[in-house]
Amino acid sequence: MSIQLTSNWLGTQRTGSDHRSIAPLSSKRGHAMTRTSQEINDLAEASYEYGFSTDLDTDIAPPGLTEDTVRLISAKKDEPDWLLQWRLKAFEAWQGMTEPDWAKLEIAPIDYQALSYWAAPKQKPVLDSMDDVDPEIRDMFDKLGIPLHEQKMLSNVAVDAIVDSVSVTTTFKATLAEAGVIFCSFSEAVQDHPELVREHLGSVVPVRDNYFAALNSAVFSDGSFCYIPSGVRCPMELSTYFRINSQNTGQFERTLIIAEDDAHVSYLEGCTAPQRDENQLHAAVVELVAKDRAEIKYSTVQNWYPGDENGVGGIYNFVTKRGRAHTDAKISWTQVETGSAITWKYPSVILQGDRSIGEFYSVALSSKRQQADTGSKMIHIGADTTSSIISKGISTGRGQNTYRGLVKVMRSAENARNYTQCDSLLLSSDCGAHTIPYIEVKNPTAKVEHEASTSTVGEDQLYYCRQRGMTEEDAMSMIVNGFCREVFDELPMEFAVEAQRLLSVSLEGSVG
Amino acid sequence: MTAQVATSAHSNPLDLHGADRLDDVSRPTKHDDAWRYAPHDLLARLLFGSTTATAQQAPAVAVNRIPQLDGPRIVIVNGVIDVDQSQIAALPDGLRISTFAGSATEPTDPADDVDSGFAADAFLIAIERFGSGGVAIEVTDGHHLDVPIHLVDLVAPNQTRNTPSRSAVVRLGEKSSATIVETRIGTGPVFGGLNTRTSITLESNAALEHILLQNLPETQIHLGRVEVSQHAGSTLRAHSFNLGASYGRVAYEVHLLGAGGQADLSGLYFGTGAQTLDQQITVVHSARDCTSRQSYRGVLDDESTGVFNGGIDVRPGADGTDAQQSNDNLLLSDRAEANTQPRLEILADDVACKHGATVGQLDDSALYYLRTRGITANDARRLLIDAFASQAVDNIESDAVRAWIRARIGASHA
Repeated sequence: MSIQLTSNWLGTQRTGSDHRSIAPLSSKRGHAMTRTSQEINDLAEASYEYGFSTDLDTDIAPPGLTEDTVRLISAKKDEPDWLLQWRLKAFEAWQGMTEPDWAKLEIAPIDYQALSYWAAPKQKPVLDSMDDVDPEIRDMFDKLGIPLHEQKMLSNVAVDAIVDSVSVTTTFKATLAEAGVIFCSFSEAVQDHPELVREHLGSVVPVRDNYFAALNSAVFSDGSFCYIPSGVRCPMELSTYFRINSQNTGQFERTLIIAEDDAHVSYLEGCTAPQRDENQLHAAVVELVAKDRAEIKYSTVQNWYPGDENGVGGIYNFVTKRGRAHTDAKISWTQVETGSAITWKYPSVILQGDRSIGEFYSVALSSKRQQADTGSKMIHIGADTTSSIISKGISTGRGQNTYRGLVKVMRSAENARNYTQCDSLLLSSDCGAHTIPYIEVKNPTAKVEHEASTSTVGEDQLYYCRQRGMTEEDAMSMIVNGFCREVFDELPMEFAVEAQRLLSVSLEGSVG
Repeated sequence: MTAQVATSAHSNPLDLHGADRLDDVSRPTKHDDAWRYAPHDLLARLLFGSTTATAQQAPAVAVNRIPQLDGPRIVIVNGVIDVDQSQIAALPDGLRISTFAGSATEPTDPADDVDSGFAADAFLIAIERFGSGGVAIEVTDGHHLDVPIHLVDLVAPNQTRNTPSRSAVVRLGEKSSATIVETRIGTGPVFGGLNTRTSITLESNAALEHILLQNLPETQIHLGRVEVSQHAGSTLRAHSFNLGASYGRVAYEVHLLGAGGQADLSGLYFGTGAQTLDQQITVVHSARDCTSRQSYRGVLDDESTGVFNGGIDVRPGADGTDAQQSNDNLLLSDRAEANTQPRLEILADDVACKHGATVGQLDDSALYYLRTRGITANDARRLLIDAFASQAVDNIESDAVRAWIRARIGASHA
């Protein structure tokens, strides 16, 4: 379910054929999958599966956020009373909070009352052929090497090819069910597994955690839910592509992943193709629970529309991501952030159990007028807990990139260990790179190390590459990819290849 | 700095009219990064306001604690010059020392902050409004002083005006050089504090060694700020030793305004009891080809808290910047705490900036090694701590000052 802005509060909306949304993209094209037209339709009409009737087309709540709005959302989704009460509590908390202003971000004031928090599922214009697709986007598809019929799916072009008659999605759902893995939309989970949702919702990110988390808790539209039973190793990497039910869940997405004792799951989020949702606010919350000896690997490649060279348009991305690691559990966040006009995001791990492990790998690119304030928080509570943070920031154009992180070692965390490395690369004279780490240590047995460097790509490095016959752009791309390598190595393979290409595309024009 | 004013003060920080206490609206809060770990309840108890006395005499008990170094000496008791204890007659050639009443500068208008370039906070405003006086030190062009200039602050608070605020203005002319030692000591069991501002200007190719020794009693609060403006080719070597006070704050803000300037800052903080020792360091690179180094080390015992908030700001156009920063902390007790925030804010592209921070404890294998050589556990511990701490002391250029600082550190943490 998506939410549309009813007023033009973030700047000029693009018009005509430019104004088009792109759906999330598969990360699995390496498997050379085929898709049926039925499946494409499913994707396009996914929202309807939630049981809304078609008259929702005209069912747009008036702009504004009141208790009634929250009640309306809950009622529309046929939610149990406890969830409504939970939302209302969040709404009450949100009303008493103020927007955080500590981030190094220049944000035009957001009028929360000018937004509509309930709208009919987003209708995308169905196009006749790829010729109607924005050439800029087509160009990007080509560079990323995305197959034609997937491009069509992404661009919402009607596909009439006859392909494999078995729905890929169904196949995977069967495999997952066999393993006992629950993977569905958040709304479905609320209906089908209320006890699991109720136990874990808000257990990692409480409703009052921060302004945007409180807002999300009050009005979240949908998201995904994933449950891996004890001892199960999830038979495949879960990705948003298979999460067809929650496609276009809109700006207030809620994700909850629970890995029981000894369970293992790798989850991929996002897409590498440009998502051209413009001028929108995204306030998502992701909660991970890793029970004893469980492992959760969460990878994100984010390429929302960054706005143009003058800072017009683009997504405002305010995300709260946090995991709780129990005894011997491991949570690993990997992110490649190249999109969004504003990124405000600090994936965190609460290292609660003894010997638990937290990892954070990040590449954040700010070009044009993009601003990213991102980093990680590692809270060491248990003994012998280990965390590492590897952050690579790249600034070019007039982008501003800030690493902001917290490493906190509580008194109870005997022999905690942290290693943090933050490197920044500056590729233009008008950009900025900032590193603002907070390190708080209350246990003398802890070993905490932080290293950071900021530098530019040297003339000598470029010269060396050019001597060997590379173009300046290829040389720059190679050097930047080398800079990010430690992070790309953490991504699943297909994702890593795309992320590299994506970076090259995003860096275009930053040489010279 | 404007950002700090904008985010920290929700109201005009000049709302101090008639008040000798900084009211709630103008005082910084825990939400200001620069004051995140400060004891805000104690800060609220500081009473500013000008002292009524026109002359001050050091209490007898404190007189013999005034360090005896060769060279000119200015002793300031509760913010007012003590003429008897000061030695400012027969100054060397090229040195001028004068005193002034009130504040050295006009009261800060928030609108002027952009011009002055230094971050304003409520305590700076307090100095400007209630400053009891200060001293101006000038070294004329081309002169090299071979004896240190010693500035001693002595605090003996009373109940009504417990926090003297004083200023010092230092100017080193072109191609001159000098060493300035600032010592802060205090006496008495009464709660109080010291609020100081030292404004330093280094003209082209001047060189200054600035040493700050903060050793107030643990009943008191130390708020010390040092502002440095450096012109082309000038060199600053600053060493701070932050040892005393319940809350000991040492803030340096260095602006490299001319090409080729060098700023080398180092410091040691050694916390015991329930002390909080706070270093707030910012180096701003506004000109090309400047070099800066920040190297701070903390040893934290008992329930003490160490804070390092160090920033490197590289402004647009400051190409060729070479800046480094390090902060290492040694925790000696399971109740001690280290908070470190090494910041980089870079707005130029041709730069090489690095920072590093570590927190750890004494190396067990090193302790074991020493003990196998027949050194007692206590001695081994002390040896390792000394080795860790001595880096800051070794950097001091003047032999006399170095020996004296070493003795001081030994005395306060024997």
